[in-house]
Amino acid sequence: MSGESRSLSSKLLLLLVMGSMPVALYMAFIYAPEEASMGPVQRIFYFHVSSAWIAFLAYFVIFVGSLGYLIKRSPKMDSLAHGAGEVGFMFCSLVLITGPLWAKPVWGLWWPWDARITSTFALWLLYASYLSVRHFFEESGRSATLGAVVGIIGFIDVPIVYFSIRWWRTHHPAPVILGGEGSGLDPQMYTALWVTLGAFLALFSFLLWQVFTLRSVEREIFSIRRRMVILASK
Amino acid sequence: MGMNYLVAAYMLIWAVLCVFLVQIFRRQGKLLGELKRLRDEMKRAGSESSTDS
Repeated sequence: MSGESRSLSSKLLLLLVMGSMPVALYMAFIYAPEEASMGPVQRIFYFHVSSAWIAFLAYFVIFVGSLGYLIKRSPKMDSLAHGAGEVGFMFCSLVLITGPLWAKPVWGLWWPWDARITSTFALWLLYASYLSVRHFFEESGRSATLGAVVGIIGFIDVPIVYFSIRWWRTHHPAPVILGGEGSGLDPQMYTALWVTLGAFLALFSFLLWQVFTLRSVEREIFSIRRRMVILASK
Repeated sequence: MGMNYLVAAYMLIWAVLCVFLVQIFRRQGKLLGELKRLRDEMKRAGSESSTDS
């Protein structure tokens, strides 16, 4: 892809984010009805759940990119995985920030060590481990291979986080989406959730694109430096 | 806890997002500057070696 079309895609994604975010805020704050027992604080739900799903998606991208790198040795797949690691870490941090902000007024506790919260914290640690491996092994040239191994093994935690509230009934609420009999949301709440998720998806794509471009520039700098060393040694 | 708490929570979310965005754009600016400098250096090195020969 040429530099111009890359920049156009980036601008289009930015426009999409700037257009969808105010709509998502409107849907979460005004359009969605107030939940009867929790009151206004329940509106954190729209950003909390969307951030969590994007954090899952980002780890899936790391998984796919890591597999792609190990099979094809493609630097682009490695950049994709590395970019998803950085952006996913930010979204997973948002989940861990919005969760306690919602839990304190509702449960009276900031952080109960229940199954969902503990497995999500493990996911955050896996993101941190992935980024640490990428950072500390950069000089040795083994960063991509070791990162891919962490990215593939760590993906095991994503289904554990997802199913934790189905397997173990602890503090965290039961699933409201695909939760079986007795679960579900008000139709307006569903609409607000899907719109917020769409806006977050646009934001994720924009940020991933930016970090992916950043990695491409880093690769180019690395190859120019190598050529310069070769030129200087001649 | 009502709407004020909620607004504060959303502001915190936006602060995290903004810090991340600023950090990415700063890194991008720095790297693009470095890339330009290296390309200029390569060009100079290329023209100097052709003058030498």
